[in-house]
Amino acid sequence: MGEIDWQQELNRAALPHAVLAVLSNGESHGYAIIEFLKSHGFARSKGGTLYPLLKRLEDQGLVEYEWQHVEAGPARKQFSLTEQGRVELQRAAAAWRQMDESLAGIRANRQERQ
Amino acid sequence: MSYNRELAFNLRIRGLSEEEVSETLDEVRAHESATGSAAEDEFGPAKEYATQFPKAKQRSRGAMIATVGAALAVAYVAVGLVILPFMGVDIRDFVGPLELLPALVLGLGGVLAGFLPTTFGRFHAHTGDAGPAASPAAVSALFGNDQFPGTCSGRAHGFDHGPGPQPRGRIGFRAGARPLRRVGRHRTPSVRIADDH
Repeated sequence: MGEIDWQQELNRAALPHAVLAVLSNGESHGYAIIEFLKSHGFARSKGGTLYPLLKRLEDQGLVEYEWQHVEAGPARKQFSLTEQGRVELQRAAAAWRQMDESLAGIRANRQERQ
Repeated sequence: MSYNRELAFNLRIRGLSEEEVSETLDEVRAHESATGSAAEDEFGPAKEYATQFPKAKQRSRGAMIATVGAALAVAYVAVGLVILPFMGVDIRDFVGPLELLPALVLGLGGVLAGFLPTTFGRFHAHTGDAGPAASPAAVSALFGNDQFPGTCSGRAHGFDHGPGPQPRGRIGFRAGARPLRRVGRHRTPSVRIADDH
């Protein structure tokens, strides 16, 4: 019957982590973030997902932005990571590792019955 | 209704500030021009996209004054009618036989004083020097909030600019409007005034 789209399920959970990670490598704007994620194996995120997420991260003080004016086309926001964002990225990475270890442990060990 | 207009409309209903509305529209436009795809394909229907943004709690200056008045009235009742009698002091020695009158005055005074900035603000918005004939105050009244700064018409934030250069400038805020929330670091104000009014 219907297979679960694990990729999609994980994308959703990992997106904030991934966005922080992209910005930790230098400032970037929305479309570039999407393209970068896509080139690194993420499913293509839509603007309708990414921008509200960026706004949420901004409200939490993890990212900040400046308006960048480009020759052709409308101005765009150039996002960068704050110091707090860097700390959160490390915490996200630790949480992800821990989840991975937990899953490996659960898969490997037979459940003890009482 | 164009996508941008509909999005602006729905964001305003959710109580986002004009600055946030305008930034969101800028973002959509920049993304559209970068991807070359239609806004609706990237962001979904405008009404649904707007729901992605948390509803802003609206509190006008008037409501704040009324709240302070009510709090003072409650404090008066608590002190005058509960605490002082315990200490053997009769509040009626100070305020006369109608001991609840000061509380009433504080409460009603708060409500009345609270209406003044709002009413004055609307009046001010209506007669704002840069304001167009089409009244943002009327729109404001329609939605029952004060999210519509006095010096810009609805047209100014409808964002149907042509392809030409877009003028930039700071929009004015009428008396009584709440201050803008900080939205980020800015090099330039992102709120625009249309050049056609």
